[in-house]
Amino acid sequence: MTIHSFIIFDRHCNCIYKREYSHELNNNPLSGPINKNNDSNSSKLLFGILYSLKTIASKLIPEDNINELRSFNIGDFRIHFWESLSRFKFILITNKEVNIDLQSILFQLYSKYFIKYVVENGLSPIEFKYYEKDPKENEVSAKINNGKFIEETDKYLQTLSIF
Amino acid sequence: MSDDSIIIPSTTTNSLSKLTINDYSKTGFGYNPSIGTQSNSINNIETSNLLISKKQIILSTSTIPIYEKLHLISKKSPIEEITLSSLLYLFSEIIQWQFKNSKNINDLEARLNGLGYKLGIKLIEMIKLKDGYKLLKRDTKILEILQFIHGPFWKFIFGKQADELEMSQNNNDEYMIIDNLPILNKYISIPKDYGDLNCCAFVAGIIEGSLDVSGFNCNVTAHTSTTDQHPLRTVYLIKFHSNVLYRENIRN
Amino acid sequence: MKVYSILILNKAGGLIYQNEISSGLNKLSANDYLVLAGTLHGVHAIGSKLSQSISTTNNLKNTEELNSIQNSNILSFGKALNPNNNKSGLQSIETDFFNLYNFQTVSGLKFIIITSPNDNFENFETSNEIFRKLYILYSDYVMKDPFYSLDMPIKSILFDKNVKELFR
Repeated sequence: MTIHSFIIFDRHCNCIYKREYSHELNNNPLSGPINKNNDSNSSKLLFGILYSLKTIASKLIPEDNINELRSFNIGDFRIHFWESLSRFKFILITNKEVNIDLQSILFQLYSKYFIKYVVENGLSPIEFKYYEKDPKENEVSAKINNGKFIEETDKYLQTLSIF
Repeated sequence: MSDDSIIIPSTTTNSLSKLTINDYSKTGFGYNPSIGTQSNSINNIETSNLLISKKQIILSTSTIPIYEKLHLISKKSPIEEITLSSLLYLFSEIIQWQFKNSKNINDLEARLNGLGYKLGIKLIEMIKLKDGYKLLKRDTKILEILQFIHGPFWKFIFGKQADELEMSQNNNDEYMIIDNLPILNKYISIPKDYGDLNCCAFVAGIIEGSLDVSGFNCNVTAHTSTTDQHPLRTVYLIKFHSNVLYRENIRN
Repeated sequence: MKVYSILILNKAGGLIYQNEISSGLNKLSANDYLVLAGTLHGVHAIGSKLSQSISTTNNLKNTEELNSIQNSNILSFGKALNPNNNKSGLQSIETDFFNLYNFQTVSGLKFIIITSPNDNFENFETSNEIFRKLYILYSDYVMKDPFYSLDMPIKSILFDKNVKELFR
C-alpha cells in the first residue's frame, strides 16, 4: 500500500502540481520532489492516457448518460482519477495493491484543500497559464507553489492507511 | 531506456526483453523459453487433468517394431498416446498444404482422399493382424467387412466405435457409416464460401483404401449432415462398384 | 459480474474478433470498434512506457539492493520477485458504467472484456478465469482451424458458438 504521487492537471493539459513521495528505505517520504517533473515525458504520457481513456469511457455507454473514468491499472501501478467541473484533474498514483475506490479521497483533496488554499486564496492564480511578454513564444504555465496547500495535503495523505 | 525513444505498440512487450533464465511465469500463462513447454501449463490442477484426459486419443507412435507392439497391445499393456492437439495441428497443416496445391474444393477433397487411401491400405493389414491375431479370418461379405470397419477398425484409429452403420434405402450398393463427432473436424470451421467441403475426406480415403485392398472396390465420400445435437455429424457414403455386388449375389 | 462485450486484438492492434455478449453498452459502428481497438492498443503501449518511467523516477531501490532482495526471494519462496508476467501495460479500467480488463498473450494478442462495474476491484480473479477460458477456446477453435490465417478477422463459426456458450 503506497501512494507514489499526487498530480493535478488543469484544463489546458498543464501539470500544475506534481508531488512525488519517495518510499525508499530509511527515507522520509516527504523528501520527494515537488513540482520538479511537471513537464517531464511521464506527465505528458499520463495525460495522453487519461485523455484516450476518458474518450473511451464516454463513447461506450448509451447516450444521455455521463460516464466518468475512475481508475485504471498499468503494470504495477493503479492510477486513480477524479475530475472537477472546471476540469481540474486530480490524480493519485498508487501501487496496484490499493484495491479500493479513492474517489472520495480525491474529492476531499479538491473540496477541502484545493478550494481552501488555492481557489479561495487571492494571491494564487486560478487560471494557470500566463504569458511572458510575447504571448506566442513564451507560454509558461504556473504551478501551485502554495506552501500551505502542499503542507496540508501532505499531512492529509499521510494520515491515510494506504500511504 | 531513454525517455525519448519511440513507442512502437507492437513491440513494447518490454518485460519479454528483460527475460532472464531465472524467471518463470507466475500467472501460468506465458511461454518462457528458458523453461520450455512447462511454462505454458495451466495452474489449476483439477481442470488441467480434465482437459488432458479429454483430449487424448489413442494413436500408435512407432518406436518399437510393429509386431512387438501388437504383442504389447494384445497383452493389454498401456498404449503410447499422443495429444489430440499435436494430431490436429498436423492435420491442419496437411490441409493447408493440400489447399495451397489444389485448384478447387473438389480437388482438395480428392487430394485428402488420396492421402487417406494410402494410409488405409497399410492400416487394414495392421489392424487385421491385431484383431484376428489367432485366427486370421478374411472377410468376404460386404456386411462383414463393414462391421469390421465400423467396429475394431474405427476403435483402433479413433479409440471408439463409429456411431451408426446403415444401408441406403434407395440404392442397394450404398452403405453409410456415421460418426457423430469426427475427431479430426472438432476444431475446423468451414468458411461459407467453401461449399460443402468436409475435411473428413481424409478419413473417407482411409476407408476407401482399406476396402479396396480387401477386394471391395468402392468410392467413399464424406458429407456433413448436421443435427441439433451433433453439429459436426459426418456421414461416410460408401458406394460399391457393380462387380462387388455381382460377386456378393453369386455368393448368396 | 456481467460481461458486456469481448474484443480480440491482433499484435498490430487490429480488431480481429468482437462479440457483444449482452446489451448495456452503446452500439458502436464497425469503424468505431476499430478505432476503439487501436486506442486501447496504443494506451497499452504508452502505459507500459509510463509504468517504467514511474518506477525509475521513484527509484524504489538501487540495483544492488534489488538484486539481494530478488535472490533472497528466490531462495525462500522459489519464485522470482518480479517474474516476467507480460503485464507492464494497461491492465484494467474502471468507470461508473463499466469495467474493462485486458489480457495480453506472449505473442502480443490481446483479449479485452468489458464488464459491468464493480466497486471493490476484486474482479481480477473472475476476469482471469474468463481470459483463461477464452484463451483455451482461441487456441482450440482458431489456431487449429486450417482455414484461419494469422492476424486476420476470426470468422470461425465454432469459435463463435463456443464463446456464446461460455457466457450463457
